[in-house]
Amino acid sequence: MSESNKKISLISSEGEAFEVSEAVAREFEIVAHMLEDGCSGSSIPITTVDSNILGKVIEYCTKHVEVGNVEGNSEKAEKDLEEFDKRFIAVEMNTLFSLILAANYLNVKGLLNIGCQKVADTIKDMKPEEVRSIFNIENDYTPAEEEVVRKENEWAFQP
Amino acid sequence: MKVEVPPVLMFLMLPNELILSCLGRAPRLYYPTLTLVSKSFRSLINSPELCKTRSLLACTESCLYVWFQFQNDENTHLVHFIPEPLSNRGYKLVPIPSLDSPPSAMSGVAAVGSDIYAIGGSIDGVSSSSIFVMDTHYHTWCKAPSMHVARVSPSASVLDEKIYVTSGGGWGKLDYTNWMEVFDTKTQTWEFMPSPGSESFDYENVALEGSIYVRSNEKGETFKMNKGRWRAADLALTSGWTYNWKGLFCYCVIENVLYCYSSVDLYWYDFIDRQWREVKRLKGRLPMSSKNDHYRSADYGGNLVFLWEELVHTKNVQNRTLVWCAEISFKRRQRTEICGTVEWCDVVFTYTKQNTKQGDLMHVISTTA
Repeated sequence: MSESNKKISLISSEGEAFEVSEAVAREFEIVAHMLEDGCSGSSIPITTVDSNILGKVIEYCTKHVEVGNVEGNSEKAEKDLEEFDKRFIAVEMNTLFSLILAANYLNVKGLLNIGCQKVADTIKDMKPEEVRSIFNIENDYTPAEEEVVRKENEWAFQP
Repeated sequence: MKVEVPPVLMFLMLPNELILSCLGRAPRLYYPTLTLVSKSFRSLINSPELCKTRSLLACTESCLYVWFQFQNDENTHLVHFIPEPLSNRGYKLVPIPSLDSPPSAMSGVAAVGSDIYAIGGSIDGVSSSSIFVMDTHYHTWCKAPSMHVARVSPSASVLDEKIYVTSGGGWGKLDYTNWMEVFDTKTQTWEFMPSPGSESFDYENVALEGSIYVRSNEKGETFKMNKGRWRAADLALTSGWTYNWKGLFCYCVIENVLYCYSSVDLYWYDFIDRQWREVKRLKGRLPMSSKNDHYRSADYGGNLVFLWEELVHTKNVQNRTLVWCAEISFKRRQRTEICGTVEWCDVVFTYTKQNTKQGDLMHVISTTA
């Protein structure tokens, strides 16, 4: 297939070029649409995503394209991919938010899913003050207001 | 070399849809804690958009709701629910603040999507045709169009977003024309259904195999709706779908299988061989005490949930009531064999009864939200 050999350059917000195969570039739905709309250029600017994050998104897509191409033994491949996803998404919060934002902009659904799920998994067992601290959120409740909210959901806070 | 410090991207700086997509994936059980994070967090958690996001993401969860009616105050209904095992704190029923709960007692109940319908009942001792609906996302009640007939403790089942209501009309009040009425939740209208032609007008009804089955409370006959007409159902079905020795029904449909609890064993109906079969491996393991037979059951995300009460008398406390709950999962080994496993069994709620009359535990129902 000649198509899979075709290379495309994705240009980050800093102007850095990342050369990827068309198959990988097509994992970015936004790029796939551009290609379908007859955008013939071989370099596509991704102006809102910086090199660090773009590199990561490409790493994610490359892995998923690779695994998608392997035939047979799909169960093992799926497990490997799950492992990869798990390791891939174990990043610090700021990077995680940037990845979610980029995945949303570039329309990489799989990455968007695991990114949002990671946030949910991280906060679900936390105390309110822990959530505030990892999300950089200021507690804007007065003690009296906090007490009211606590009362509303009293059952959940019982020991 | 110039080192650029990237601006810190914070969670609440993400577009709203992405924030909701993250929060929507966390189990509902954690929402009360998350509301305490900040005011904006609280309004996100309580927003209708979060509900929408959860259903778009297919992240909805089953929740159990339990109706109690306390004898000392006929008109008070408390609704409770079990979310998940509360981490290591075990299972428990938790009261829902129900400031605007409906005034009716002895209502029938039905769940459609995330809504629970309280059907008929009695208000100040007068039988009622009113319908109240609770949105289980917010636990708020509102009124829906009333039935044509007032009914106390009616039987209700749901098929294709329509609620089928029978029974409860009181002696001599039901006839060929008004024995069953159907509420279309989409059009919000009530309609009567033609009768099977039997002299009986008092029926239990259940949705099963994509159809509605009605079992006469007065005669041993069961009918099935087939292409708009009632047909007599298997005699065998009628014989096992029956009262226990205290005159109470305990049946439940789970994944299209009708289960019936006889106060001793749990049975399921095999439509192909037309016979009731015992659920295997449960013998002697059903945790219920044989002294009590006021059971309520519900389909809880594919498992059967049983609730029952146990009265405990101690020196200091009379009529202490323990509410037990057991969850049973099923596995079909062969076409003719279903095995059950008691997943857990626990006291989920305790209260003190004002008198020993049974009947405080009214209904158990589950919804997804």
